[in-house]
Amino acid sequence: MSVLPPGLTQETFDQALAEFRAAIGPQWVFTSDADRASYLDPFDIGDQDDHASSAALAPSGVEDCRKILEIANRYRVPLWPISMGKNLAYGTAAPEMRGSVILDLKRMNRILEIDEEMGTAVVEPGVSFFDFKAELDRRQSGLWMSGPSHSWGSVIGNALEHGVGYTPYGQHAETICGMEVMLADGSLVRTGLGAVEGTREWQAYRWPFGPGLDGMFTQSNFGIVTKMGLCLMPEPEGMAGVSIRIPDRGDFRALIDTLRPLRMTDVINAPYTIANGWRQITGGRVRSEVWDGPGAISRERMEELLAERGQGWWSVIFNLFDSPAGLDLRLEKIRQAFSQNIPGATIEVRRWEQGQPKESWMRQDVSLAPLGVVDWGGNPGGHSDFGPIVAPLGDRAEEVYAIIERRFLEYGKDPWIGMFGISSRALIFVADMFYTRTDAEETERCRRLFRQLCADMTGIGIGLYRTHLRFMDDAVAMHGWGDHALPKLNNRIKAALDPNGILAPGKQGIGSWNDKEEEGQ
Amino acid sequence: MRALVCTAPLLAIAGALAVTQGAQAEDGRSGQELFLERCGACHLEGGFGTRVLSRRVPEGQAELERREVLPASFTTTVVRRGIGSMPQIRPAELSDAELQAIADYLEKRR
Repeated sequence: MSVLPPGLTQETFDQALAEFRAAIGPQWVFTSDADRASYLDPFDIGDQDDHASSAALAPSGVEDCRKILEIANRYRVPLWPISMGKNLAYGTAAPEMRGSVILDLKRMNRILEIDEEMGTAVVEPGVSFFDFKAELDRRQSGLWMSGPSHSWGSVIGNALEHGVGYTPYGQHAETICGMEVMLADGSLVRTGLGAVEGTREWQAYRWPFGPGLDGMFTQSNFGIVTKMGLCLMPEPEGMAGVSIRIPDRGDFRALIDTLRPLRMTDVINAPYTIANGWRQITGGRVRSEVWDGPGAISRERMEELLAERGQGWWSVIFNLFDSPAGLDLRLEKIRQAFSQNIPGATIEVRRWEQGQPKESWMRQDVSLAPLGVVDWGGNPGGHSDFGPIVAPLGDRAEEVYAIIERRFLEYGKDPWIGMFGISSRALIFVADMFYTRTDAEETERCRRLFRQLCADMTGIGIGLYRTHLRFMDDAVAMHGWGDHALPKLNNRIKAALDPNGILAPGKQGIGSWNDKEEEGQ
Repeated sequence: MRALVCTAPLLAIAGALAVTQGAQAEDGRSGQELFLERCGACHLEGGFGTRVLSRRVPEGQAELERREVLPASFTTTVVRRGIGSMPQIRPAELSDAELQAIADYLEKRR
């Protein structure tokens, strides 16, 4: 079934497609139903067709991108740039606005530079974490990659979407050091010191003369990022993998208040992950094997399942990076803090030193682990994540956790909640809703739950870290301060840089074509 | 500077069977080589795909290379559409010729 970009007739769209074919080669313009289906979101929390594309284009480089933009501007064809297109649980490769044409940057897949002395790299959008790790290994590099839990995605795409990893460089957007960006009019810009002709310092320092613009192109639709610089961590002398079990559900507040100063003083020098009970019981089985009752798995059953596995209600895991002597000092401080604040906690530690074989707990290998849990709730499975950003203060975290858990239970969903101490002053909650994709009642209930939580969080001044395509407008509406001054500013920037609104309309609620129609433009 | 086109990891070849088929992609790589490179992360022994499939297919057939019947047309459809917890793979990531070579290898290797 044909899908058209909004506002275009079949005849006009066919003309645009003919021009795209002439510009980049007919084999790189995908229009068949089967090809377009490969850009649908397989884990959508509703009808995939709501976010169907009308075609896909796969440019080979910036010159192809420029040609595409010229044609798209002329015909008013909306483009949805993707890199690897593996933004799983957040929309995968699908566009926010139905009928958009996918701009598939997978063919732009060069690793342009890995600088061992400076600890930096420059890559293109189509480089996956698999590719990047393979290249570091091939070179026997002394630099380590910080990867997310699922490695199929793009190095650039993950940093742009504010993805996280598990090393001191785990806040991936913070590791960006310079970008090359093509704007909607086809002009090419290098941010930071990349603007200096012949520079050696593009990746050295993020703050140029004038505004630092890298952040403006993350989670945005202001341009197409065609190259990105990234800082890489030198291999540490040693690592310690720390696993802490907290048996008592009532110790959550104390746990947060114990971790915060350790993270803020850099004793814990990488992101930590807290898992609640429901999150700890999934490995190696499906839900129907442990619960056949109505609604969420009951607290009593949870206690049984945790006891079977010897787990506490809360678990915390993190890795430490330092010399062996430095690790000893860090571990001593951690043990002291927990013994004072949560005497019931048990702490297990594994160690590694340079030269020893790497082990799985170090999370230094590529992985597709998250795919293993997708079918937890039913087959064919899917999940969508609710991700508020919360100050790591015991009172605050407890307030937010209580609301999320209560709402999940009310809506008959297991509160499968993790919390990531991504920086010293931010805790990102990831509350996963698992569903059977073909169960329309269940997916509709999950959408209502998500929107209920948006309302709850707005009421207490909390915003989100990332959302599925389907909730972009809900998430941006949470930013109401000053009569929604920030979303309005984003739309003003969008209008200035992309007056035809062709780049990813609706992404992060910016430049939605629905708004355009409402304003009579 | 180095061009890379992998969408899945280059794998340890451990466990790979020494059966080579004639189907090849445009660059001359065999279906078996492509299968190991593009599919192996999930579909060799111990991979997530193998573990998920072990719940659904007859014992001993969860690894795709050990499946008794695996028509090429089924493989090509599943790869382009996705199935269960496996997301689909696009032509820009894996060309039609590469996919066909993999599908032919999985169908005929027995």
